[in-house]
Amino acid sequence: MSPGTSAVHELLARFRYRPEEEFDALVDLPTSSVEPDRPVGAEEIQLLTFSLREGEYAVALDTVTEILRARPLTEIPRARPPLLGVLNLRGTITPVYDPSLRLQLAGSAPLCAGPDCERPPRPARILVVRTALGPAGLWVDRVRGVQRVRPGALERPSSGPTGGVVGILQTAEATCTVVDPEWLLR
Amino acid sequence: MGYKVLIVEDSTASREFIAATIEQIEGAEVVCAGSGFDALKLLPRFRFDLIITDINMPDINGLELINFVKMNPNYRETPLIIVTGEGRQHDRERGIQLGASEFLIKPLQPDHLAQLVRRYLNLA
Amino acid sequence: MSSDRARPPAEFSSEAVETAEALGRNLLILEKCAADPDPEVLNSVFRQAHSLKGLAATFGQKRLAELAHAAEDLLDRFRLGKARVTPARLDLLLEAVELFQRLAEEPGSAVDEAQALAARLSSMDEGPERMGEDPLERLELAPQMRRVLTEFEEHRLRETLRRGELVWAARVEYPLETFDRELEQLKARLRGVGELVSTLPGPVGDRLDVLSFVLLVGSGAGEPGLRFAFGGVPVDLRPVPVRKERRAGAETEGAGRLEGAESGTVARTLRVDIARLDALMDDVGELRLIGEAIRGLSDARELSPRAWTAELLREHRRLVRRLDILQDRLLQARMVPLRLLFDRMQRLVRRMAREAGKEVVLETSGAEVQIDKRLVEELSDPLVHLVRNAIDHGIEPAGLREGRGKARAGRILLSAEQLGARVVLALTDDGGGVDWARVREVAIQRGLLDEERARAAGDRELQAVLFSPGFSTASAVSPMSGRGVGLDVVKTNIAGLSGVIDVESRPGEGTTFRVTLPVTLATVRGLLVGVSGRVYAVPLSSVLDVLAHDGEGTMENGRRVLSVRGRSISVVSLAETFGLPRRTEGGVYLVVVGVAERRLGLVVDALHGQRDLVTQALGPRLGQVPGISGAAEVGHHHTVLVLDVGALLDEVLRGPPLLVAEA
Repeated sequence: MSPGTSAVHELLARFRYRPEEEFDALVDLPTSSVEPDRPVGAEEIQLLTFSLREGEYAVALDTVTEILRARPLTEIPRARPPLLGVLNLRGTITPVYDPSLRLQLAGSAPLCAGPDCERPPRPARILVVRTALGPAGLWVDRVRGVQRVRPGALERPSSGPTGGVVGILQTAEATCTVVDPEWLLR
Repeated sequence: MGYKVLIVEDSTASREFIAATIEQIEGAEVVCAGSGFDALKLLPRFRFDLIITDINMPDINGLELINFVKMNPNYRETPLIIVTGEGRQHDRERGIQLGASEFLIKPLQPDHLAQLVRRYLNLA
Repeated sequence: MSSDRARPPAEFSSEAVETAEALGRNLLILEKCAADPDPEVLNSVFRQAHSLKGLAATFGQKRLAELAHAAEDLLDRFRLGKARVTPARLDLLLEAVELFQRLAEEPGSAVDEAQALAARLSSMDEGPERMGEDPLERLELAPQMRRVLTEFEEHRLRETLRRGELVWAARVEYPLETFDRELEQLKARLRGVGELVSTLPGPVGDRLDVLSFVLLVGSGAGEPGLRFAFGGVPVDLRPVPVRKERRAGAETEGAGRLEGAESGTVARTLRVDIARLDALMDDVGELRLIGEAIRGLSDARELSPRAWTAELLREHRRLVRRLDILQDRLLQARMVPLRLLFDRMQRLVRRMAREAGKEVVLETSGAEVQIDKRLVEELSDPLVHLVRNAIDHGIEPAGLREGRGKARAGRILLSAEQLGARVVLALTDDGGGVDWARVREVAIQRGLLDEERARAAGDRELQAVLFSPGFSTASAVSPMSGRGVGLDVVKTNIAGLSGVIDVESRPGEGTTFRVTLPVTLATVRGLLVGVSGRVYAVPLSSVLDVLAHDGEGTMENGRRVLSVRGRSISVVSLAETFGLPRRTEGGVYLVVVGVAERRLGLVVDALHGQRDLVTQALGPRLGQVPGISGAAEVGHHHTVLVLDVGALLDEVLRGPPLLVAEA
């Protein structure tokens, strides 16, 4: 928070947005809540916010089963983007995808599988989400944190692809697009 | 893109609800039929990507419609989703046997319906 | 309520499933002597339902208990001679058996169905025709008309028959523009002479401007009266015949269930021989001893470093050996006989044959062959598909068969055989065989092969077409059943189990589908090969030879060919096939793989030894990755992909795949 903000602004900012520490290790989300002292309100939904390229995005927290440190994946021969590779998650083969394609973001996916792959950047993470077709991973640049919002706090998207966008969340710092992971994963 | 979805449902309220939900999906257009007869007339007029139909309707029931679609070389590739009330298990099973791909039970959840439709239109 | 939904304890599931299976078998026996039921069997089935009810009640499994109670009541009436054993009732009871198994595993599942079935079982019990039967059974409706009747329409037809009236089937044609008005008028006129119960629209050839309708009308008026109601419209009018006596293969209510509901009833629990468990405990005991020895080493200061290291290595060897034995024993414990699967197929065939209006008998052999429990679960779906295929498209209707000099009832043989590390399952029907000419046609129509290639295509190539995603056997053979059978799905499922599927057909005589599987899913012995810095595993069961590759080989028909041990085989570089960068220097190896008669040489950069691999399927999201059948963990966090030898053989020997890895 920038110093010198007025008391009211601070109050408002705190009400709407609480920054979160970066996740350093394997995190089991249901147990690591942001505010353990305050129970989740009846109509509040929890969002997991993350960065992808220059944008901020979020998915409903209850769709995410794990957050992993990004690591080299097993390459799938002749795979087409957005499939980056697969992970062996305690016995289940989990495909990992690059969501930036679906979101039509500039830039290409990092090479994260096969013998020529580079070391993934430290903040990069893999979000493992639950979908109708089984678990799948989303490769993101950085996880921001968990945020609680009332459904009314989300705005309708004004332009751009409306398919999987659940809403737009305005925070003190940024505009965050909330998306539906099923749509992200086609 | 213009994906066309045919909704066959004789209850106005249900029909409007389903139509409104699907119209929210980007790229999807909806064509409504208030009866099996209407559906028969609409089938040759458009190339539908998906058909959503009730079962219990007065003149042609949903099963007969499904059978007609699946028998017809012009339409048989079109996927069908059945929408029925709770207790109509026999009808639902018959529908699936005849070739419908899925069924949904009323009352409908808009997200679930939208998600299902997206899947069948190969969107999202 | 919550205890109802929670997972029940393993002992319950295991016993409930076993009781249900035994009940199912006995019901099939009962069917054979339905006219004069064996009192022993009657007592057994009653007792089994009774104990199932008790078991369920004890574990708080309300829904299962209710369903078992309804079944028990009906079986009691059978036993006391208060109700006759009819096909309709047996169908319901067999449905109940399937639901028992499902509910034993997942009490939250099948909620609607369990309740509905219990209700039907009870009403079967006290219905007005308790000692009579459903008049609808004797109505000789064409199967396609029967299938599209809603419950309400069935009820109206029954009422018609009960009133002693006839059911008439009238076929008319109307133009698309005006049919609704015409039908409304017709309906009004028919009201005077009877009741229009059902209207079945159908196409007229492939015309879009005309529709045909088959109307079912219940009426007490005679033919002249009806014809009059039709006005001047040309109509094909005839009464639907009603059979006097019951026929064994009659259509019954309670038929028709989601096919998907059948599979997934194989238990996730296992009954294991106590002796096996004792042996496992022994193994653990041995492991503890090794643990002690290692601990002892940490105190052994008097040993020289060399001796100490030697001791450590020795204990390590013992450890590894013990672990191998332990793993083997655990794998053995997972093996179950195929009988469970075969029994379920028996029930399925009964029902499917009835639905298709055909007479079919299922014979099995090799039910004692054992395979991994998980394999049995995974095999269920593809087998169901194949059986449906055989009944719907393979076996001809009884009349036609007689005309061809065959026995009236079609015969399906489901057999299993263990050949070393493999199990071969075969499904053979004595139907009409695959119409390869039609397959050719459809392949061209659907753009799967161009004309030239289609004409030149041999049986093998056409086989590949049969198994490809763009192809639906339904359209090829029967215009009626709208559901494509999806042999491509079957093939994908089998490939996911590291198996391969083959088809052989003799025109006019029948078809055989052969599925070859490695014996344990859990572990496959693989040869690890290096290709462009990646490591892949080749199932050893498909590896025929490994050699250093020096020759260049020759080109034949656009494929590289090499002579290996006097035999000419096609050779392909895995790097090329997988689109990987080629290594420029260093020697290469040739791994010769094969299934049945087919052979292929795979050029790889390095060999990394053999390993026992615990394999996993790639999962539904990844679907079909051509050339890959699964993945296995090798070392810490290192996953290698397991090659699908069958698919590679297909791809190289027949042409490029029709699908590439879907994202």
